[in-house]
Amino acid sequence: MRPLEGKHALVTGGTRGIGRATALKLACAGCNVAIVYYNSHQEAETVCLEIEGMGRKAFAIQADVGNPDSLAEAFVTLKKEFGELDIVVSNAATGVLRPAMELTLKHWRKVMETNALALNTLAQLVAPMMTKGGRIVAISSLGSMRAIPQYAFIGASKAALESLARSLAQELGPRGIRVNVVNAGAVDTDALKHFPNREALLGEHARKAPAGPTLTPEDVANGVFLLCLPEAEMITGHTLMVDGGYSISG
Amino acid sequence: MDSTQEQINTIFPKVAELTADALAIDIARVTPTASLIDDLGAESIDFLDLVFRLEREFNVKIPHGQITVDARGDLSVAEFEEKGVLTDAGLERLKAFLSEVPAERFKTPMRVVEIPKLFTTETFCKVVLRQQQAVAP
Repeated sequence: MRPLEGKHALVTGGTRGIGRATALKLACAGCNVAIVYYNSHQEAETVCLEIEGMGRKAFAIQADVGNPDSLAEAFVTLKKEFGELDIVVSNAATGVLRPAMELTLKHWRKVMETNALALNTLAQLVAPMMTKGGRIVAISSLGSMRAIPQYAFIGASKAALESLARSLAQELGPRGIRVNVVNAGAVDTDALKHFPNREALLGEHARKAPAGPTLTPEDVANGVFLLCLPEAEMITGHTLMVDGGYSISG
Repeated sequence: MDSTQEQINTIFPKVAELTADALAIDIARVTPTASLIDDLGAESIDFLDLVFRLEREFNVKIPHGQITVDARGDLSVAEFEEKGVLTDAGLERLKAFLSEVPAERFKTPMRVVEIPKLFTTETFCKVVLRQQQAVAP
């Protein structure tokens, strides 16, 4: 018997990088998985085929997680397919890599809506579907606590996300819904390829992280998995660092 | 099959509306030949937003980089560009493909990464029509 056998999971941004690894990890643990994606049609099809190859149910829905109407529309399909939900991973994110002095209100809205507001919208939509309790896990990054060049609004959105997760954990606790965050260190995903300082970020991680030089999407997915286990029942409102110990190293 | 001007004119109002929404600008600024980047201030996140809106509205899929792929057509990558710069053949192909773009906007030499600067609202009308035709029975 797999640890999450028969559970229904939803992963936003589940087509690439950490989201993809998480979708596959949850499927491997026994979950049927729905993917929410924005533009990556081909990748969505591929990850669903991989999950179906494990004998699980999988389907992908296109939606803009930063737009509550778009997510609500996606949930019509989700309810029809799954009825109930046990696990939601809010992973989809966007960003504008520029110095803070060059960022605008448009950038703020887009980044905050996609990276932070989406968690609240998801919580509102999934709570009625988690009648027997459930797990909500949001994916954050080191930018929530540290000033990373070009990362100003993304970092602010991740700080907001972590704060919001604590409030949701408090509100949804009595309903058996646990809300936690996985804060990932520097993982070499497609997203990182857009960073002008990608090499420096990866190099610094390799130099300082005591647990090893490379952090993979699968490492982060493992952190999400741990928070979804029955044994994590009393963990809520927590931010779990999955960074190989980078952030505790001086 | 190339899109007819009549087909483009038919969908232009909706494409213009979606463009104005995605860029948060007055729809009056969205003319058929306005460059999305240079005239309307579009950025990469806006293109993603616009493509998402077009896909949902017209029930089509527009993969990332589709316009450049379509423009290249049967030319190989090496025939189309060399080290990120369009070849003479590539530039001629691009001019013919983006026939809605005024000729003076094409630079010589032109880098592949500069191609999106040429895109107009009509460019997106054409990509929607091509993708609709691609899935039509």
